[in-house]
Amino acid sequence: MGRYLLKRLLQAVVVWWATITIAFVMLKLTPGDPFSTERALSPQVLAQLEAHYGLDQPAWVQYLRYFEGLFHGDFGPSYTSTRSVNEILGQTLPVSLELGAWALLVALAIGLGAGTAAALKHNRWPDYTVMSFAMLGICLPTFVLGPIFQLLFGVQWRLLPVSGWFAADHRILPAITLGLVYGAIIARVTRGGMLEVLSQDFLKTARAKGLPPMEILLRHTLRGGLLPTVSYLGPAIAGIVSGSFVIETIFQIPGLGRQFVQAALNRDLTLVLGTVTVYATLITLANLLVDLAVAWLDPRVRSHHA
Amino acid sequence: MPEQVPPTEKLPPPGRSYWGDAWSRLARNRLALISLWVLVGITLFCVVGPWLRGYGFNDQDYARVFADPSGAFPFGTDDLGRDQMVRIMVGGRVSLGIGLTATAVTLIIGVLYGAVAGYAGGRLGALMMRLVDVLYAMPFTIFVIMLLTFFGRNMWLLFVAIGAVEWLTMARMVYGQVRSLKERDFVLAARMLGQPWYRIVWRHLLPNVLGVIVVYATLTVPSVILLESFLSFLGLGVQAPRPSWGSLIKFGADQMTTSPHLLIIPALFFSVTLFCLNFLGDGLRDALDPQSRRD
Amino acid sequence: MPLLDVQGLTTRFAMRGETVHAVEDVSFVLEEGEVLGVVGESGSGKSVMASSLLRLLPMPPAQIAAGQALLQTESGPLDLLQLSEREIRRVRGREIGMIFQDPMTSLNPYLRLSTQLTEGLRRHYGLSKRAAIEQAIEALERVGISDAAKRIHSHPHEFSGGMRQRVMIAMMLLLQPRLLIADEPTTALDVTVQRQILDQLGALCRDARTAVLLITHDLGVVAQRCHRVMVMYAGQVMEIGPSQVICEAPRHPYTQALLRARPSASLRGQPLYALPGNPPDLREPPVGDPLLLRPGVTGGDRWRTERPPLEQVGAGHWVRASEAVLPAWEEVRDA
Repeated sequence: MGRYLLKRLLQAVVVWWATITIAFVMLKLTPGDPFSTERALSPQVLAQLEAHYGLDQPAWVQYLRYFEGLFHGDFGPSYTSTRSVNEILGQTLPVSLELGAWALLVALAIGLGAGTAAALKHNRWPDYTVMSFAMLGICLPTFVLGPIFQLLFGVQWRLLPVSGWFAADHRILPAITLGLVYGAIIARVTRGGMLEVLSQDFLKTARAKGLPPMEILLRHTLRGGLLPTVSYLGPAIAGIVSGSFVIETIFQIPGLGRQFVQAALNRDLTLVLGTVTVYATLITLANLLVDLAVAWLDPRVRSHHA
Repeated sequence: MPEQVPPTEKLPPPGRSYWGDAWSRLARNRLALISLWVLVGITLFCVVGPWLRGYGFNDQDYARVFADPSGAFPFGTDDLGRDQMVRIMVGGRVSLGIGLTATAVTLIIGVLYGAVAGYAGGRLGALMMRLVDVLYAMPFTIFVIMLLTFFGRNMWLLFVAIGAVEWLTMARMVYGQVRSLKERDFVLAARMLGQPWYRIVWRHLLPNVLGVIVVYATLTVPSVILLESFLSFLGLGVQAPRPSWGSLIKFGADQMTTSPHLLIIPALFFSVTLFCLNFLGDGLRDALDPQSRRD
Repeated sequence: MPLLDVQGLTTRFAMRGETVHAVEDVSFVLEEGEVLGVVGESGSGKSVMASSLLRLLPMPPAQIAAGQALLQTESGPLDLLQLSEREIRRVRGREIGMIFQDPMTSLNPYLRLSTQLTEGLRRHYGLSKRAAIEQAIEALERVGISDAAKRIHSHPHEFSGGMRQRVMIAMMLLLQPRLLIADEPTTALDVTVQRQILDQLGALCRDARTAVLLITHDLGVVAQRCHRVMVMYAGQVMEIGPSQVICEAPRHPYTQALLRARPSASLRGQPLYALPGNPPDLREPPVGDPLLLRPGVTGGDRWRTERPPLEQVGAGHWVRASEAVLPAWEEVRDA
């Protein structure tokens, strides 16, 4: 178990570091300088600006300085805003975290329930219904579903607000739109995992011992049946992150996702790097947690990878 | 519980090939067949349509901006008075074209990488797949967005970016398949008989891996189209005035309070295409890889 | 009164509009503490028959079409086939235990042995967790697992196949059933451990006076360990009687074929006999003698259209009438 954890931790650190490094390299390879996008600057001003942002140093010094700053919790200044990257992240990250959490909750509530029901009623009408809706969900990505929901619930029926992030009802449409796709995939994954376990011999053993169906489901079936779902949570969280780019744009939510896209379009390189760092941390942590959960659920994983 | 159910499956009639068998299984899957025909229809519509339509995708006419659907313009017109129908057709060409070419890129990288790792096996294979694991855990969409915003938004970069994201799954599938096939008795037997490695790969491994490749290639096409449209929606994909389904949906979303059909029609084309590709992929999986069937 | 009295058990599977006649009119009795061997090729209906008794088959597609199975319990006889779902659950494990063929898959890989061994005790006997664990440790020790107090907290994958089957045996005998159904318990194991496990199973059941229904395709197992033998083919009973009698003087041609397919010291140097072909397709139940559908089998026209009856040929020895002539050794070898 210890060795498995160590290995996973090591891999997580590698992924985290590599992501930031790749982003850094890409920024350094970007043609042109970050300040001359809109107006031409005199060489003196440019030199001053570069000195101010530390860009007169060699790239590896900047690279090391960035990590040094990171360990002090300092993401550096923004190129296009008077606020620091820290301030911007501090304002936008909580919004995106909340949106992501709601979306994940929606996805799990729908996916787990529907997937389990479909597996237990395999090849009967609940199964067909769930699988049809799941397919529908997969083929209606956020950028299609979002505008359609806005059209229906906001414009046609005037039930819910369609933009901004103020009151509780502003959370409903974005969270559902973002969660639905992953709910559909989770339903499919859960159904698959449960069907796999339901065909296993050990369930026959459990029945031969005279255990009632509920006990068999809770103790013997769910644990193995939900393993694929738990493993899928890593990719799901990464997917919710990139989904938030679109959702926050559609619903005009002042979150990190919209900020990232804006920063990239404005070539605010430090802000982009800061955002990528936050995302890398988030996704790495999520994957690590998922790995831990899988190891806790499946004893074979623990010993095979040891 | 295989022991309990008495053997009822009759042996297949002799002389039926794997592909013949697969075809007959696919032919019995009504959803997959309908999907195939709908896809053929949409492809024809998008490929042949623009020639028949009589308008170019960038023919502007300020006398007819935001026209509602009518006989002359079945799907209406946009803010520059361009025919929405021909724009959807051309957008479809772009989406389907990128879907196919980027899938081809993933195929080449993924199959080669997976097959080499699988056939090499041992330490090297494990190391290669560990690299795939690391890449898998990275937020690639973010890199793609950076790539497109910083290095210019050209089609070529888009292909590379999408191909780089999507080859990982293919590599994993092929790796797993080759690994398990390599240990199978018929391959071992061929090796024992002293057959050269290229013959083993060609005669024994490839035909058996081909099914999986076809299935996952079919399933890669919709996810590539999805990614391209996602980027186009954010304004990072195909550049104006050239349309793609993603940018048409984005445009429609901005106009939906006044002209909802500008959102609904491209969204419909896009979703129906994804739907059919996914159904076809599922059908192919059932037909080509019966063991992976879960029902 | 016998412990178990099965009469006319008939099980069918409805699959894609077709009916598979898996078990057809099987009757037998089992006394307390008796070991009855059930022998036949794969697909002869042995496993389905045994699972039908505990109603462990998925229904649908399985369906018990006819018959009764009276089990003696403390509260009088129960017809297993008529019990409600709740009632049959009280029989499973508590009155009749069952061990399956593949110990690698019949234990839950996600749960510790302690959980799997104690859940039956807690359900049927209402034991506390601690008391159940104590009993489980003792049971593990009885089947020869050393250091049981520690190893009870490990997971199945930490044990070998033979060890896992011992755990299964301990798990089922722990509930003190009157009858243990062992469905090819050693088929999936190494030859070297097969014998040990069967010996142990026999000894433990003898001590506890547990009756055993031992399903196997190996007549060698039957001869030494069973009081009586039932030979099944195409879902029907072909011959039933004392194992010594059947192994020395088999009456039914199918039993004879099975016996000749076994290696033995007296036939050293001679090729083994193997009946060509497979058991018949049970989607159309054989009207007459099912053996006549086997390639190479000749004669027996008397029973071509009519099902041959079971006839008594000795004390407790019944044989289904048959005039089938098996293909000769030379023909089989050349085929």
